[in-house]
Amino acid sequence: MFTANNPVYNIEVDGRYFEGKDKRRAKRMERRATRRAKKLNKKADKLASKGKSVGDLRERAGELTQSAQDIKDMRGDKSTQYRYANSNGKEAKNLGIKGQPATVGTGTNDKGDNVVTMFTSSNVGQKLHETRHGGQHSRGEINAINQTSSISAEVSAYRAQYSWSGSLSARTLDMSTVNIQDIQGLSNSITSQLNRGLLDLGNYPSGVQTTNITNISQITRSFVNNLVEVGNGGIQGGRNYLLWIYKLLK
Amino acid sequence: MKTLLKYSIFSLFIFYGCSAIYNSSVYKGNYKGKDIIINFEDAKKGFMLVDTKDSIPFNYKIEKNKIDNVSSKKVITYVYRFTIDADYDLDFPLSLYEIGQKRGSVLQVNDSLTFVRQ
Repeated sequence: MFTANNPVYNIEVDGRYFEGKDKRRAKRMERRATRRAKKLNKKADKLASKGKSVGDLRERAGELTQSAQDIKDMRGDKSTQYRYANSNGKEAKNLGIKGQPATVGTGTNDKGDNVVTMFTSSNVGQKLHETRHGGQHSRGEINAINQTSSISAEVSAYRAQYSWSGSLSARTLDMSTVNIQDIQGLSNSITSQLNRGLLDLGNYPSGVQTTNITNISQITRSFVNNLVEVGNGGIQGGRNYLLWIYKLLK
Repeated sequence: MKTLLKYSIFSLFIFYGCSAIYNSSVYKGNYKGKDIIINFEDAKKGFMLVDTKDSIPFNYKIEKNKIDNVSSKKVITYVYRFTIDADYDLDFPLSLYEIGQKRGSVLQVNDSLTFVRQ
């Protein structure tokens, strides 16, 4: 319904489920993903015609095409409104997820429909990651409202993220190779004391390394299982620990 | 020609200076029955040899931290941060550190495991 004096971005509710600014954002993201997919396919064709290896260009193009499909799927979801928001903004801060990209349920809108918000920074790869989660929610593969996900859903989202630039770096540690007491700074050993000091300063303990992804096939369940971050698990004033981000997922 | 010669000599000095600073250092240790050799080729990169078979290249940087220890004295620690290609699925932890010095004779990994400079 159109009414006088309404700002342009607040009108035109037509059941396609991005509204206002998000409609434009989604369209732009869809266009960018499609364009880059075409570009990568063209590059792969060129290399193949010269008899050279195409590497993972086709897989990356496939993921970017899927990202465009994610947006189409969200648009087609009549029961949920999808939004993009800044992960460093006020809204994210109020939800206690400031600085962390996340796709979460943020209540209902005026029509009584669920609202799923994708919190990201301006990084395109990160946007594609959360867009994949939005797409997964619209297809019923995950549930962003009650935060039900799976390792394979995360593998897919990291593949989408990687596909934009063809590189990805992340902090990892294989839990089975370390003494948890030592790594979390909970015992009296020298290593443990050192790690407690580092964690209290917000730094990674000494066992954490950076893993460089240079091919899409390296994004596996084990890579996702080993991803870590330092945090207090949302407990205000709580001490920092090394957290395996996807430990609870199967 | 004279200037060129002067610059060449100067460059030689710089080159010599750099090679002296970034002399590769090799550390040796053992983890769960595996011989691990860590070779720091220069200030940024190196490689690991596991049981003298698998060669794993890496980039690294040394992170300096001042932290409180149990007796509440500030101590300086140097933590070695490694960047490794995901193709190399490591089954041993890389957690080298030194306390109070850098590039010493022993690198700590945990309380029972050390790497000794060769």
